[in-house]
Amino acid sequence: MVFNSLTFLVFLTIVLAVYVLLPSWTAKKAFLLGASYVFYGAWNPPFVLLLAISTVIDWVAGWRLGEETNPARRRLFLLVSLVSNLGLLGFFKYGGFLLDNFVALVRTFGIEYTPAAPDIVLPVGISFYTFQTLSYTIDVYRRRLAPTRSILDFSLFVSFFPQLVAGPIVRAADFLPQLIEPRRLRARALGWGLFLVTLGLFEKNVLADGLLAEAADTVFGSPGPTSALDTWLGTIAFAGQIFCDFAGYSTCAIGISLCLGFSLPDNFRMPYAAVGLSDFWRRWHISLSTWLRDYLYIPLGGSHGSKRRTVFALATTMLLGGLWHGASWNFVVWGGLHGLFLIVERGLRVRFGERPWAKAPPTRAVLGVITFALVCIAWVFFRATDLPRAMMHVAAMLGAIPVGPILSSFTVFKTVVVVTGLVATHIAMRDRRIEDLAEKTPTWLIGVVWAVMLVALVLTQGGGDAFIYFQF
Amino acid sequence: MPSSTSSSEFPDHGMVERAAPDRPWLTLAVVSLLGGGVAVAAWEARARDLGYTPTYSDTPNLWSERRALARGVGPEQVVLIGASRILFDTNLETFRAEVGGPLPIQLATVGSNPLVILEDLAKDPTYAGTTIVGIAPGLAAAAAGPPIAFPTRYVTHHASWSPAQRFELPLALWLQDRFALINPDLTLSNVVKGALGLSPRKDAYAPEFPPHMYTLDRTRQARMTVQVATDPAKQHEIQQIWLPLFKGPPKPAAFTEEQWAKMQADGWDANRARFRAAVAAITARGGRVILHRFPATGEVYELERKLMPNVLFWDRLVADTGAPAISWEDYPELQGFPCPEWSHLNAEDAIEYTRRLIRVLRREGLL
Repeated sequence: MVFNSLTFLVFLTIVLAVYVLLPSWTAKKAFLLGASYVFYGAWNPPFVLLLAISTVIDWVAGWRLGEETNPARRRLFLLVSLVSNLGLLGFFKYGGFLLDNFVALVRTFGIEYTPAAPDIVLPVGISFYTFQTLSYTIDVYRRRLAPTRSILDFSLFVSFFPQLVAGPIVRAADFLPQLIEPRRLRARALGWGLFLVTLGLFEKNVLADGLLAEAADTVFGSPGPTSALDTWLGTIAFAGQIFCDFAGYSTCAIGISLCLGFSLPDNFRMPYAAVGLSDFWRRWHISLSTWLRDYLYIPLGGSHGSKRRTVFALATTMLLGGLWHGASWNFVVWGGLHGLFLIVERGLRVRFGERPWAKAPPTRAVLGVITFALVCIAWVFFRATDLPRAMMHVAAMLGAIPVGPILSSFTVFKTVVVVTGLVATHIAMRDRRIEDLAEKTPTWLIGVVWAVMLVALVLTQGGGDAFIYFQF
Repeated sequence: MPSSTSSSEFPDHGMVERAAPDRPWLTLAVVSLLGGGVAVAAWEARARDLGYTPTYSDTPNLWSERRALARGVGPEQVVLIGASRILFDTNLETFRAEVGGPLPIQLATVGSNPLVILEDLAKDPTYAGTTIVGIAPGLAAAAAGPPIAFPTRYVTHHASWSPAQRFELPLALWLQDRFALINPDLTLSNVVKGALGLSPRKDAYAPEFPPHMYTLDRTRQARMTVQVATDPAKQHEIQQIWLPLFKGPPKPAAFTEEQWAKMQADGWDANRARFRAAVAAITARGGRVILHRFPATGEVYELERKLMPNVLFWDRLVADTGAPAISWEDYPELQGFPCPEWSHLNAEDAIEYTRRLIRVLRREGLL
């Protein structure tokens, strides 16, 4: 079920009520586990089995890795975890893609091959919980984390419903300790959590779906090319939409967790105020970028090897990071572009980074604009339905295709107003957290903002549309 | 969790225990909820003042409930697909009363090419119903854009209709039964748009869609609202919206007239081939497909005659599919119905039109 639905409202009300009333910590955890499985099964009941199998394999692998001292056997247990997790991910997420590309490859050699359609349904959130469990076994293998003996705790870590299907990707070292002692439920945390849930739903329903989706859908759903201005407007609308959609989900997840007494890490820190692409990745989908850093970039050599090694590590990390988002060449190109931007930026930083003019506010402002423009150009590949269309949109953005406008005056108006407001907010909040803002805002104003968000949610209607990141 | 090396490209993920800012959050929650509730109640009163009444929204969930009923049916079950004309102009209860058997399943969606839903039924090996397909030539010929995107959204939704979405439907209907403000005309975006009243962009092909003009019940029986049926100003407003929509998109500057004409002709040829295949698949299982054109009047009808003449559209579709076909133009008893906004019948006329259509279908041996 999705957060922006009446079903979830009923579900959350029941979960909170029962959770508060249950007497023991073990009973509360068991109830949360059951609720998480109901939450996940509400999409497609059979996939609960997949989640359970993945959980058991990694719990056993972690337990054996903790006990085993023989290096060869330890490698074997790690391999079991890697193969089972990546195998599931590969089959469900990349099976069709690999088959399509294999067919295309053999056809280039003149071999006509038409396999049966695989018809594989992608289990929602599989990329998220697979990465979460992988981080556990790898950390236990590296002896950076002691394995948990409690299968209840481990199962709840894997399936905790607020962040199960779209993150933040939580590390075991951050979450398992929260399961040892009973979490204290405080009225203040409950209220703050509900405020964050409202904020997240406002971002998703009102901003992303209600105000920004139309421009993006019109431009990227157009059967033919669109004018340069409209294509840029559709692209910045998508930039705003995907942020509000995904950050909205993360904000809801953090808020719901707080209501239950748990802390989840930030997943976004005002990414559209980034100066440079490396700064962008410190602010965008933080739980994924840190995962990629710790389990891919650094093992590949990181930034401490030769220049060539660093370039290889960056390019590989970003290409695979792109592919993580979906089984399509569009995502590979999206990741590749970000890798290229990071490599070029790194070279420029080594050469000019210490010059006084490079740190001057006007330079940083220009770099901020360039960063936003590059991120938007990369979003074209993320949003377009296929590569040829993505190239068509990029050509249109450069003014290479003479066509008339298709966005209405009001669509242009709301896109410009919302995206300008969003970017201005990111700039104003660049080095601050929402908690800092709430501390300094008068109480009455918070009440007004909260009520306005609630009314806007009711007036926007809609709801029930899946969050964009569920497909990953 | 420590990392052995540092990196400037990626952030620290340093986990912190979250602390709520020092504010009376629960009190704020209650006050905000009350304040918001008062504002929403005022808006509900305003919506009713404007003439809106509670009605069901035409959501993919509501459509999916109907689509699920079409699984495993035989020829005794009538299923209606198409766009807004078959949705408005057919009365389901009249159909059941006149013909007997189960209530027809209404699967038409506004602004749609019926091909998408016809193909969905054709792919369903359990389906062998009697399918009446409402054909509006401009929509049936569309190869892309909203006429394809609208119904595709419904079909895709049904294909992965989850337990959570099934549970959502009665909850949503309970609210829609009680609140007039739940209406596409009254969304935040549309309210702001109406208040601003911005002028159209110069040279933009950005056709407006009409205001909400029908009510819907659980069986997806649509009825033209009384306002549209009786208010000439409202009718004129919608007529002016139809005209650019029925003219279709302009030729993109990137193509010559010949290229554009060929692209459209190729698209229509491809669509007819797909219609033919879908009709063949359903009839091969013992099902039936009947094509029907509903009436239009005024400048909309003139535009259809001019831009989509029968010889190029309706006649070719009928010939290619081999399906039995009834056009209102060919039967005197189906003519003479006034369309208040040139494209649809009002709720009372829809009842009489349904009766007469059934008589024609019987006379032709199709029912």
